[in-house]
Amino acid sequence: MSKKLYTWLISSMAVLLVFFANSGVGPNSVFALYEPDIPESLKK
Amino acid sequence: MIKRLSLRLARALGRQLPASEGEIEVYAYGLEIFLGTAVKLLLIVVISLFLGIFWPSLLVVLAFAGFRIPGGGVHLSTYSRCLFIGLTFILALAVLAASLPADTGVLKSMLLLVALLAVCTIIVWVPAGTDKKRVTDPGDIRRQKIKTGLFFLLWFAACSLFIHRGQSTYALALISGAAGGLFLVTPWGYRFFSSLDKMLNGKEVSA
Repeated sequence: MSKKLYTWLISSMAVLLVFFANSGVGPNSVFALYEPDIPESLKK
Repeated sequence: MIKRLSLRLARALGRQLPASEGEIEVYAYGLEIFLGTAVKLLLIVVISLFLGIFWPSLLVVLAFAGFRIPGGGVHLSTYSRCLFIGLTFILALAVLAASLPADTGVLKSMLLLVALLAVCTIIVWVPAGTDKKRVTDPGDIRRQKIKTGLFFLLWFAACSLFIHRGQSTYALALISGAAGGLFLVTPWGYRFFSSLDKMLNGKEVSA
């Protein structure tokens, strides 16, 4: 059970990070004054 | 620092899943955006609570981000500069809003002036890109102008409501936050922050 929960947590975190990454690639600007380098895999 | 930390955390996450090198890069990029924004917002909350200007700061951030996110604008080259200059910029606007006495007439004039700047900025410069990211698709450009325009209407209504209710500090916070956010979208904002960046680059090289 705990293994399943751990896997779910890790996968959810990854999904959330992909969501943040996509928000940075879209036409909207990042709120902060610094803009990280967009990874090559997201530029395609 | 945020870049390195994000990459280390992303690698650790990648080992658990497991994930490819490309996926780890995407996680690191997402983490960099999340951590960078979270650290900055947390510091704004803590410092503004300490200074007793939490609500004006929150309104400055809302107005600033509301124009900045769909409108784009200038970015600095390093996170530490962004953190220090961004914090100073936001908190200075909040301190001004909290300490300047402004009567209704002055507030109405300021609101009209910033509204005029907002309309010009939306028509001419939104969405303002950077070397790293430029919006070129006509459909995207139109969508970003509409999003910024809708936020402009919401911002104008909120400012008018605060002025009508005599809450000058809140109205001034929204007006100054918008002026700050819009300034970054204009060519003057680009010129100012690019010069600042170049000046700091020069100091880092000579140090």
